[in-house]
Amino acid sequence: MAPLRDLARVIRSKNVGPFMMALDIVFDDRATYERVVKSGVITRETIAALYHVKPETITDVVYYEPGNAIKVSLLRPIPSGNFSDADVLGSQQYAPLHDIEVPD
Amino acid sequence: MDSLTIVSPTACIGLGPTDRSAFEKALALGPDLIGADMGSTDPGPYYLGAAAPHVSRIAAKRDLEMMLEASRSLEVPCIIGTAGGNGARPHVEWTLRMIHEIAEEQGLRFDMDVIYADVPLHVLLQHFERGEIESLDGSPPATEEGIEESTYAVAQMGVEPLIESLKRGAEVILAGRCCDDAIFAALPVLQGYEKGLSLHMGKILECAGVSASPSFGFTTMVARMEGDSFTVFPTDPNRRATVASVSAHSLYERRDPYREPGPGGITDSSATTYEQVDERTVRVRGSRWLPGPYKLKVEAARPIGYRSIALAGIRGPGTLRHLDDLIHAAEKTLEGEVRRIPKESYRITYHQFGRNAVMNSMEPIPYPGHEVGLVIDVVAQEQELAAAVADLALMTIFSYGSPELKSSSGNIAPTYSPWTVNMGPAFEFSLYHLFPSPDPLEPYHTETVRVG
Repeated sequence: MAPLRDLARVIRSKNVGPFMMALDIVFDDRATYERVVKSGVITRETIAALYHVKPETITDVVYYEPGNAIKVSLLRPIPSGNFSDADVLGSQQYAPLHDIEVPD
Repeated sequence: MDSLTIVSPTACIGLGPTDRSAFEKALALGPDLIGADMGSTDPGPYYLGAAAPHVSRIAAKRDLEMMLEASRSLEVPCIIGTAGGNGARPHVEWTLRMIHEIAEEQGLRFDMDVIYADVPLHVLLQHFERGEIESLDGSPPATEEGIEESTYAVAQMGVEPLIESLKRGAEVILAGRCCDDAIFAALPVLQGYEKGLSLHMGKILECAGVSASPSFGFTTMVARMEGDSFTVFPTDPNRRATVASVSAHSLYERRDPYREPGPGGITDSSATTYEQVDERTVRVRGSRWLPGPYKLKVEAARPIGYRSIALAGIRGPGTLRHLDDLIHAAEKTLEGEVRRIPKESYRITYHQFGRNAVMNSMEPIPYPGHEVGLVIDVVAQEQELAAAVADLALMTIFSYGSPELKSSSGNIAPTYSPWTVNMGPAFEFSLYHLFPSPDPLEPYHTETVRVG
């Protein structure tokens, strides 16, 4: 087992327009990428549970082989800059991904 | 088709410490175009709603001067997209004033096309009545009030208006709201390059050195269009383009790394290949354009009131343990004021940094640390009302007494004098939607201006 933060080169979040945000996990090589994809730890259901959101609000889960990356897009619970928002850029929403345990 | 060399010195004019030396190295390569993006909706609705720029005048003028001097001395066209940060008329005019100043100060003289991207609200209402305003990327359905209350509305232009200006021989183009890839793709498309390939190049270049390794948005990226492919490389000798860094860029800021929608179609990179041609250069091939119905993205923001905030540090263990009770007490105070301060006239939220301010409902660990930064955030119909509500909430939390709270000289530490700060008008995005535009040029208004 290894935490995702030890396997990924990049773990980040960023807006996709004001109403959605994307979580990107980028690996150094194809083998690590495939290990994580095959492990099933990053799916619509696992991310919905981790982020306490309904699975339907996760609009895309893309396994991007050319970039050895996984991208999950979801609706922002509060749109960017709306009243009570505290992360206009959506740039600090990735922390829960760090501790995801990935089996060998 | 002749090969084309295209230079992008920065991911956003005025945003960062642009690497001048990397730009000068690019100029020595004999560019055919110098381009840069100047804006985004990323910084939130305030800048569009209030017609304010994202960046300082000092920084923006420095970058503009660098680009214009190079463009005029080499006599190559210069294209600036999404002027002033959001590309509405006031943002364009803010940028135009700086360009006139630069020309006068540096003795430059040129013809510039200024392309305005504003869409009148009554036109949007007509589209709305015909059911033609379509949600995009999670935007809620548009409403009549949302459109009517918007301050400025802009439609993000594709390559077409830029191509018209290039055809007329414009030396410099200052565009309002513009697709960032179109800034760089217009010239290649005009010269016969495949549109999807050109737009993919534009998408990489608009972020300048972000797709380099190590990544840095404020250093120059160069692209060379050649036949059915293009190469990209940064000019800073300490950075390089790698297959990993360039292909990963397709992930950036979008939902689908394989398909990038734009006005009139989609850039499809599902068959794109990336090749490391030398240590620091990558060749990209295979991106293609899939035409579709011509739709434009419209953005607008509307005012939601006036904001006041009160900041306070919390370090006391008792306060931290009873934070929910203290906030509840503030809520009770405000309920007690309901005759003079009706509930509908304001909204209040308590951001608790160190607990769950950043992730809010998505926070997996909503337990405070040894210190919390409290930001009381109020938006109300009038500035004075917002300040009054923030004050009441702050002072209730400050002075709340109970046997569990040992501190009797204040539960929290207001950070500033004044402890309540008026932030002025607050906005939210009212439009982030598509509407049909069968004539790509129709919404855009171009004026040729003699500068200098």
